[in-house]
Amino acid sequence: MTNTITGGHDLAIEISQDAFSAIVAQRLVRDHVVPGGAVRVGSARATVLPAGPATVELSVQIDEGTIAVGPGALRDLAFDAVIPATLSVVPTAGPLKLLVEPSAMPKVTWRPGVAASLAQQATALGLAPAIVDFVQGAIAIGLNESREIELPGLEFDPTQDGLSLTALRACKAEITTQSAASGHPAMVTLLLTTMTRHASGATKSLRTSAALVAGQQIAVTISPEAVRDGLLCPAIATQVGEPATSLCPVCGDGTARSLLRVLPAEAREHISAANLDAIALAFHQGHATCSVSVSGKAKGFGLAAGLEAELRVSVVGGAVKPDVSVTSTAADLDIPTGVHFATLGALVPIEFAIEALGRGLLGSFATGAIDVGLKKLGVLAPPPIAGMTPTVTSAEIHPQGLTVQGTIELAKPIAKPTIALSETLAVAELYLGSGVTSNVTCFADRSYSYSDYAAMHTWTVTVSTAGFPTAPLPAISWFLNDTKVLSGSRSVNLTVDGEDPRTGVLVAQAIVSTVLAADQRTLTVRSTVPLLDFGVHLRCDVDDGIGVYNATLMRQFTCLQRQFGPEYFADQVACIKRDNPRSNYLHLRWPASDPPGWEFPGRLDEIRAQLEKILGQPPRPPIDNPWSAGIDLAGAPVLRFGTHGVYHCRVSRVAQQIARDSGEHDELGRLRDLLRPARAIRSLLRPR
Amino acid sequence: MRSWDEPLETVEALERHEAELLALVNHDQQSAELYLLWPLRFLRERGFRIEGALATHLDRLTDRHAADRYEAIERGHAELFDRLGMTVRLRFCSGGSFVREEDQ
Repeated sequence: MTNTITGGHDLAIEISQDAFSAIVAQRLVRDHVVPGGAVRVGSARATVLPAGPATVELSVQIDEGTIAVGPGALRDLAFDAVIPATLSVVPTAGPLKLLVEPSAMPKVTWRPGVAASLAQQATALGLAPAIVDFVQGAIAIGLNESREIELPGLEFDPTQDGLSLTALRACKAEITTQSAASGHPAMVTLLLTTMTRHASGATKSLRTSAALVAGQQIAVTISPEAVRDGLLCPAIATQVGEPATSLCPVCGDGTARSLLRVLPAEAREHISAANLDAIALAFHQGHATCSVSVSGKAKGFGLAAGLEAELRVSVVGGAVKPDVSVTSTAADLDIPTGVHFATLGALVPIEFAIEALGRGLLGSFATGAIDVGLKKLGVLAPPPIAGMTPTVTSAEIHPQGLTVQGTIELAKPIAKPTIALSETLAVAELYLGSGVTSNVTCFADRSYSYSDYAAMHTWTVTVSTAGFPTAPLPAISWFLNDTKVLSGSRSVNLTVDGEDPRTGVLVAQAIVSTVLAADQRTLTVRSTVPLLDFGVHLRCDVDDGIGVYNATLMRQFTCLQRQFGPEYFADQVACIKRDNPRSNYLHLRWPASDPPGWEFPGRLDEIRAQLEKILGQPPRPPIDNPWSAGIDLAGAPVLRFGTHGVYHCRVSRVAQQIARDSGEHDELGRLRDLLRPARAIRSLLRPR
Repeated sequence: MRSWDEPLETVEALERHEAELLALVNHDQQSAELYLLWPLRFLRERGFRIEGALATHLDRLTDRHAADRYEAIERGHAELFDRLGMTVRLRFCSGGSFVREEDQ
């Protein structure tokens, strides 16, 4: 008999070229061939091309490759690699595994693309050939061993339901590739012969059709013989108390199996013998029919009974669900004429015996066996395997067997490693003292009383990372003003460009305390010298052994808060009104808990527009988030950011703040661009 | 003379005519069902002269409420095992002692 899909084999596993390539790329290239150390592959795709019997070429595209070069790294490199290899099936029970054996050195070529400028530079410097050689060598080293690739969704669990499905163990396999055809995608097909002995002895033949349809990624077709011998017969054998590997009558060993043990007790009172004679399974389009024949003896007369059941399959909740419905049952009674008169006398015992046969044998046993056997197909529903989740989408019975199709959710490519810093700032105020000062408004002859408060800052910064390998863990280092922060609680002297706000004297050093968490991911900085305003540049380095990635933050600590009495603010309003013709819409914002500040609602819109004009885009939060423009203690215009209420930032430092918020930290050119709005804002705020 | 022209008064007498009996009851499914349901009536309707002890014996085997069902089957309106939900085919064969266990 010719099976056009399985070619006379027991199983045909068809995997779309795309899915197969992705599996190979993940399992072989990314996880094994080029592990972290010399070359890290950010993403890779593989194409499996037929190159002879069971021989393929793995055409691998490596994107975002990173190569360690001395203390640094070359990133975003792209290569094309061709790896000649042979594929074979590992003959073992359990998850189906492919053995990939490289057969020659990989051939690597440089692919300008993502890092075109880098490629040009490397080419100009004559480095390209060396880099290519390096990658080629790295892949070759990674390929020095054969690799096993576990395919998803093909787990035959021999312990499920107490049945042994070792009969489905593949002992022979062929691998073929097939180009896309009408309605079918390009695919790689594994044709497996199991260890089951078939009575029918299916003839091996050429496979001439495919089951996998476009849009699906995996199809498993089990031949009718394999369904019968691998699923149905073991289920029946188990029910009648024989080893699951025992051949049932359908397989032609000629031994009748007693079914008495599966009869209900009340049936055994009337039936003295019951044997399973034959099971026949026929596959049609949309359904299969199963015929079960039994024979037995009641008290004094013979019974021969048969059942026909129709099998259909559907997919429920991602698993194959068999549906067995009995379409007909029949019993032949051979009644000796004399027995009739001698023992029966009435119909009741006969009816009872037939009922028992129908219910106990044909009903519960036969359909139960079919059901159990077919339910084994439920194992085709996923177990998910390390990032690949197969989902059964359809199941169909047809003359070539049972086909289950599904999709495979493939692991996403490794993202380019990223790091991000998040921060919180807590401020505690400490009253220092009061005094009187002058020359702080436009009224030079007036004096104002004030109170000074010290602001004690607790700045907590946490680094989050993504896309780094989990083993080994990347090394994290923190730097404050280029001084490395050591683990644990420490006091750190910082060389700063700060000043005493009361005297205006430049100070060259500040002292902060640092607490670096054990996992190195959180750094807490506390200001310990309250009367010093200073800025801190924080850098976090994450080193994965190939390259160092970093992120930076800048934070200005304004540690002295001077609070004036109401006359000071009245004079400030008068000064601004005098110098600003549009002062009518100025209003004073003076939250009780905050040091005083001025808010310019009309000006905020102007500033926002100016920022948008300069930046080419609207200012991003938190710049656009609660903020206000005002004047600081020295009467200079400031922008207030965030919701802390006590954090002032001089306009000259706005650029640094914008630089931080824009995510651009180290590029001087970008910083220069960002300085422009500071000048513009200063101009806007300058009293007219 | 046709065999069933003779009056049959014992089980042994009926046993001697088993071949004719089998031919009658296995003629079709309906005949087998009728015989199984009400042997005395079935045999008499087909010319067997059942009398005496045999008539009494066969009458004891028959359900008193079988008349309606017998006639329904005879008219083709019912089958003997139709309430079982399965097809039951009857075939009678030679054998048996024609004696109930309790009579032995």
